[in-house]
Amino acid sequence: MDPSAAAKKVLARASGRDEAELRPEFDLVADLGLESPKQLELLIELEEALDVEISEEDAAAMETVGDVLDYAAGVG
Amino acid sequence: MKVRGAALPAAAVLVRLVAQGLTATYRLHRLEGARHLDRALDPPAMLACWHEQTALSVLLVRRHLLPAGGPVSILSSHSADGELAARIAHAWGVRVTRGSTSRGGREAALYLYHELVKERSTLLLMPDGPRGPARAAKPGSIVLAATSGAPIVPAGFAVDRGLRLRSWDRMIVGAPFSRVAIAVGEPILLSRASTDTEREEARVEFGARLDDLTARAGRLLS
Repeated sequence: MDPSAAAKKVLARASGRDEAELRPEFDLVADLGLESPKQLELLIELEEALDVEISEEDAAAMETVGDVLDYAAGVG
Repeated sequence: MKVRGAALPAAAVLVRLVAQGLTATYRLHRLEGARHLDRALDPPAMLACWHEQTALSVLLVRRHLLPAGGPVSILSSHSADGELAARIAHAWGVRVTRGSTSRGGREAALYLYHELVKERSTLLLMPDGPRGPARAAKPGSIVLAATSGAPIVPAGFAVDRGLRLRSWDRMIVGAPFSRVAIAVGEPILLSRASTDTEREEARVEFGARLDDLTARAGRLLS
């Protein structure tokens, strides 16, 4: 599967939203309600979906849906 | 007194020497629940106690966890006190990351997850740290347990003679040659499929177990 599509699926599952609803500017906390514990699960699911180990620096930089999708695109 | 800047390395060496000397005089009065401790010695696993018992937990780390040979990891806050603690722990051979799982520290939480799953570490956790409130377990360790499948082994520590510091947790420091009792409890296990409700119940149960084990350790001294 395309990494960005895989990441979008993970974001949709973690936030309980439809993939079509996810906009790049959505903030993970403010818009999707992904507080710190849920963000850890999101990162772990991303690692598994993309078959990568996300660095602490990359994790810290993911604030929005767009950040996550950009990261996934970079992996691909 | 807060120690900062250039004084930190010297202070860390001094405090480490004092801490090493002091904890070397601690005598293990009684260890209850050794079979549960064995689970913490078989990583990946987490060993947890309240933050106030950090100094006493050094006894268990140095006499049981580090000699077991597997990596031992801790999370240390970004404060000056955390820096000092990190330098001391590092000098003892404990792997340290700086951060907090309670202040949006997803990268710190991710590091701990990697330590558990990829490095097969034993994590030493204080679930009310880094700033309290004292004896209130935060959800971070429960999420780590659920995502990694690693057990949390709860423990309580008590000492017959010592003092409490004027820190937020009123940390206990045993007097030289004091007797330390340790009560280790049944591991807490969660699956990734656990619901938010089950995790919250586990968090509450976790805190209650730490309180019970602390009280139990106190009774072991009498």
